[in-house]
Amino acid sequence: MRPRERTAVDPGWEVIVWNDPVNTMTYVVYVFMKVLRFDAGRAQRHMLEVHREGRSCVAREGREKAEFLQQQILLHGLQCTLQRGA
Amino acid sequence: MQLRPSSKGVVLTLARAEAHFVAHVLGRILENYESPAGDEGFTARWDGRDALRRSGAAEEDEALWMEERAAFRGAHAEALRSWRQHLAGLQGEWAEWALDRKDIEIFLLTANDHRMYLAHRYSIGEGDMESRLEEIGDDDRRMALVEIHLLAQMMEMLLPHAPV
Repeated sequence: MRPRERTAVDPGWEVIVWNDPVNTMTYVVYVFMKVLRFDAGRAQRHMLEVHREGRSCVAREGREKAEFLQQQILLHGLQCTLQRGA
Repeated sequence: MQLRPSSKGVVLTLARAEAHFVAHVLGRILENYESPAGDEGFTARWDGRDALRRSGAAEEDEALWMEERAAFRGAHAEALRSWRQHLAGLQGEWAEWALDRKDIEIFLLTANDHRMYLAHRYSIGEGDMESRLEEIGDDDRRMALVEIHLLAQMMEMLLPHAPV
């Protein structure tokens, strides 16, 4: 039997939400709960990370799903980009 | 402006001046949806094309995105027109404005979309958001900030009643 070949794990695409001066904290929590189906505590933690660190990685997915989430977040008025996972 | 929960959503009570001002803002949202004023750079930031480009989206994906944005606005325009007509036509001292849960969701999306439009168009930053309005010299920027703050206040009232 040949040893199992090591396959590279796809790091996926990170969905990054950026801080901005206009969106309110409450609204950002609402968008995270509605679009990403986060519970209130997780949504609050990511909102605070956006607020304090300037950005938060809210999901890591394959390209298609990541694009879908990015577009939903953009439709809700948050700043959101994708980047290749590390 | 006051809010009371109802079986279907909420009922807002507004003084006549508040109702007419909200009607004016709803009209501005509709105007901007139909023909957004401003240069290409700011509209690309507002409508998300800039974010898509920075994420490596293909040109055809960008075109599809713009169609989706147009459909999003079009789907909400009828509600905005109906609300504006209701609020602008009020004659009494107080107005009642009933919003069901779907209406609340539409209001939150369109109000925030308009806040972001104004922020991008007038380059509103952290300092502007914390400024006293009388410190803003430019009339258009001051008016933009009034709308941004008014809509934020209404959104904060409505968010606890929004469906998630």
